[in-house]
Order: sequence, then structure tokens, then C-alpha cells
Amino acid sequence: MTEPDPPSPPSGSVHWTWRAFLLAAFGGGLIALAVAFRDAVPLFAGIPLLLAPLLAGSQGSRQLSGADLDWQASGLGPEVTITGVLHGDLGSSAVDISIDVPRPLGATDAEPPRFEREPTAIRFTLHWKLSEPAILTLPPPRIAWTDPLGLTERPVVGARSSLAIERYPLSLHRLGSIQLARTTTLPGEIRSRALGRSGEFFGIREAATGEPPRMINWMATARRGRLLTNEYRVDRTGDLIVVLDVRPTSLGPDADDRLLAVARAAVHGIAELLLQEKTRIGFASFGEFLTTVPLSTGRGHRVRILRAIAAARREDIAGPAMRCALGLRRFYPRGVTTLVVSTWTEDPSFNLVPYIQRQGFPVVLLSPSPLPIRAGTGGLAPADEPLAERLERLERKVRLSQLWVHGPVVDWEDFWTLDPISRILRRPTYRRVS
Amino acid sequence: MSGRPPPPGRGGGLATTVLLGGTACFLGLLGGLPFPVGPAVGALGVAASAIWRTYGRGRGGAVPLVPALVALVVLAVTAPVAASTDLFAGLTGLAFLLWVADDPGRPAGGGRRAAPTIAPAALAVGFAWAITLVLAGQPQEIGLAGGLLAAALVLLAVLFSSLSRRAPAPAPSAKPVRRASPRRGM
Repeated sequence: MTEPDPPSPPSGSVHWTWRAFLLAAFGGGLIALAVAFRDAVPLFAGIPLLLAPLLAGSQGSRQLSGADLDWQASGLGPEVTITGVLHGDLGSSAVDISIDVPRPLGATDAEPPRFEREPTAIRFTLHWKLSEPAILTLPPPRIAWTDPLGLTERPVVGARSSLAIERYPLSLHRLGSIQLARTTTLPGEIRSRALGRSGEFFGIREAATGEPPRMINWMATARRGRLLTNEYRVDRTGDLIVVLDVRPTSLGPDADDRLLAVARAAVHGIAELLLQEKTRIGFASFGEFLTTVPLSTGRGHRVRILRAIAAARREDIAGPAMRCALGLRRFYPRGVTTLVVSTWTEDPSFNLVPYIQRQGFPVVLLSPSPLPIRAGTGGLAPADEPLAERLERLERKVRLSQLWVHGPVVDWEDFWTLDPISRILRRPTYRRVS
Repeated sequence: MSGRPPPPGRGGGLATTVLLGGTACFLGLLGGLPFPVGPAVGALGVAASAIWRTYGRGRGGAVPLVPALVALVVLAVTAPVAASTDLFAGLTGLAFLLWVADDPGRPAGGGRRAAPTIAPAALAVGFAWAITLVLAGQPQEIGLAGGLLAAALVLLAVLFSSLSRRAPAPAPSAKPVRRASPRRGM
């Protein structure tokens, strides 16, 4: 998940900031006025303004050669804590070094940033709160020395890497107990003719809500004091195609990017969890054309699929929904449960669900709602906001309800939980082709 | 997000704001504008800049400095030529630099730490004022001050270029890869 770092700026080059240009402009203007009016007073006022940028440029921290950055992210759920150490021979210049970590869209400061200065290191801690799940790659921060007046700055070079932050919906682990339908056998595999839950014993796991009593391992339950169930090898396999819609919508690029970041995080989490459970996962992203990763499982496939999810970006041109459905039919066998992650739009021909379902794929639609992202951005009075939000929610529900004839639909508003989708995947009747 | 390590012993910028406001008001009092207008221009300009840089958008940037600079230009242009107005125009410029250094939006600043930048400027103002005081009333006053300024700028440019040439070579941007040394023959 680490992207190649951008090239470091050249060291030693001192740049004047806008402050320096402003002071020089006013100082030069005052001196020009003094000469024009043969008046010494503007000259005296202009001398300090004109000299300060030149003097600040000559004060560039010449003893500072370079500094390396080690940083990492921690925290749970929406909480992100970034701790970092800037190593180097900072000397007395440490106080003048600025570390600019770009805060991602939708994140807020949970606490003010903390800095600890030492002669050879600067330690910093940032606390952010993410508004929705996301997979982010923070680029290396810009580290620069600035003079005390803020008139000049000089980039501090050194070894730096980008930082990956992955935050999934908190209830993702509940997807682990879902049985997905098998559509094709693995190469060389002969299917058992036994019906129902049977086969080779695989292990013991926590019981999920609604587990039948005959699945409970009562001896293990008595030993551990909580409900545990048997798990069989045949339960551990299944097939799922995840289709991520990366087409542009009428919501605009910013909202699209945020919703796509949420969708990527959900797909990333679902894929990683189900791959751990030996489920075969296929991934497709659809913008103008369909990009696919075939159905498979295993560690190599995990890397391939997670890279494909991370590389999915919003595209500028929207391809027709029929193209996506035909592409899926070409690359995947019919009957595989297909999870479509797509934002709802007003245009009915935009919806992938009917087209995919007609090609023989049982479809479940997970639609990240734009309402939490757009809340409070309409310029309405605070008293009118709840009413507008309620109307928008009702309109969205009415439109999404029309898709239920093709397959179950999840109106995903609370981005920190995936319980609705796990409830639907848990019920095999919903995954049947009509 | 932008963050800097906080320097020890920094105030909130109130002292330098009062200093700049005081010198600007006094320059307005000595200047050519009518009594309530001159000090009011100085006070309003400084107050607007101080409020802007503390609470407004673009904190730590260049734009909040503009009202104080405009007030300084207005007061300096309208002030009559006299030794006292010359001195207070220079002092207001220096106080402005101190105030810029003491920006609460930039914890890396500080008046004391900005001394290497402000002290030579103060020296130039002092020299210019001393020369004009000695030659008070003589017509070549502006020419002398201008010549002094030009000499100071040339000196600074020479100093700056020589110091830049002596700057050490930068550190490599990444740690060097240690290659395995060839194994000696048996």
C-alpha cells in the first residue's frame, strides 16, 4: 500500500515567501514615494521593510543538512493517531522547522497537535477523527525551515515515506460467519454429495446470532463460558464478485471522491475478511470500461485484489450500464453472488443492478448514501436542515425501493457499520436469481 | 494540518501589538493629518491587522499584514519632514517587523529570535537618522539618506551571496545502500 515517494526538493535553495514580497513591495513603494516627493519620512519607514527580506535570506539555516522521518498511524475506528519522529542534527534550528501533514478530506482535529523538541529530534503526535471509513495514503509531509519573521523558507531534505491509513467499518468481523453460495468447483475438486452442513471439521468459532442449536459445540461452550460453534471445511468456501462503480455522478467530484473512498474501504475490508475465510473473490471496477480481477483465493490473489481496489479511482467518463453487465458475463460464471457498490443517482439507466441481474447474477446493492456527506452544506437555516434532510431521505428511499424487484438494496448511511449487508448476505433466499 | 514545535518563552503577541500601535499613533500625532484622524488611522490599521491575524482566515500568511502596512504608508507620506517624524517613521517600521516576528499563528517566530534580522535594519535606520540629524535643514538630506540605503543594500547583497556560497553540501535524500563487499578468495 506504499506508493513511490515524490522526489525531494533540492536542498539549500532559500525561497522567499509571500510575506517577503509584500514587505519588499511596500518598502520599495515608500522609497519611491520619498524620492518622488523629496520627503525623507517615507524613506525611514521603508528602510526596515526593504532590508528585512534581504537579511532574512542571509540568515538561512546553513547548519541544517537533512532530517529523516519515521512515522506511523494507530488508533481504532474513526480515531487516527499519527506519531512521528524527525531525526537529524537540528541544533538550534529545531524550533524553526515546520512539519505540514496534509489532513485528508473529511478528517478533523480531535486534539491539538503536540510537538516535543529535542536537540536531535522532533517528536510529534496528531489526533484526527475520520468522518467515514477510508483507505488513505498520506504523502510524505513537507518539512521546511523558516526564519522567525516567516519571510524565507528552505526545504529540509531526508528519507521519508508515505503513510497508509486503513479504517474499515467496525462491524466488519461479523461477515466472517456468512456462507456464500458455491457456483463452480475448484480445479481438481470433487464435490461431496452430502447435503447440508457436513464435511471435515475445520475449527471452533464464536457463535453468531441465529445459529441453530445443533451447530453449537456444547462442550467447548461449557469450558469457555460463551457460545461457540463447530465449523466445517465445506462451510469455509464460497464465491463473491464485488463490483465497484467508479463512474462520475451528478453529486460532483468532491462528493464522488469521498463516497468512493468509503466504498473502497468497505470493499477492501469485505474482500480481505472473506479471503481469510477461503472464499473466492472476484473484483471488478466499472468506469468507462470494466476492469476485472478473476475469481480466486489465496495470498497471491489477496495482494492482487487489494492492489486493484486501492487503484480504483473516479473516472471522468461514465460507460453504459449494459457494458458492465456484458463484461461481467464474459469474465465470470453465471450465478455468482454479486455485490454492487454504487452511489444512487437520479438517472434510472445509470443503475447497474437491473442489467447485471438480467445476465444471471444474483445482485445485492450496497449504496453509500450522500446524505451524511452533504448534511449542512445546502446553505439552509439550522431550523430547516432536519426537514430538508428528512425529505431527501424519503426521496432516496422511494427511488431505491424500485430496485428491490431486482435484488436486495442496502441504503448505507451509517458508514461505520456493515450490519445491513451482512444480514442480507446471511439470508440465502435473497441471493437467489429470480 | 500545519504544526511547529512551540518555542519556549513566547507571549501571545500583545506586547508587540501595543508597541506597534503606540508608535503608529504617535507618528499619526506628529504627522500632517488632523488630530483625531492621524492616531485613528494608525490605531485602526494595527487593530485590524492584529485581529485578522489572530482570528481571521489566512493566519500565518501575508494578507493580514496589509492593513497595518497601508496605515504606515498613509502616515509616512502625510507626515511633514522633521527629525522627530523621521525617527518615529523608522521606529514604526522596526516595530512593525517586531510585530510580524511575534505572530501567534507562527509559533516559530519571536521577537528575540528575530534579532539577527531586525538589528541590522535598526542599525541602518539609526545611522540614517543620525546623519540627517547632523545635517538638519540642509537640502542634501534625502540624497544622503538614499545613498546610505543604497550602500547598505549593496553590502547586504555581497554578504548574502558570500554566505550562500559557503553553505555546506546537502545530505542525500535517502540512506545510501550498502553494497556487499566482494568475498575474498580462499
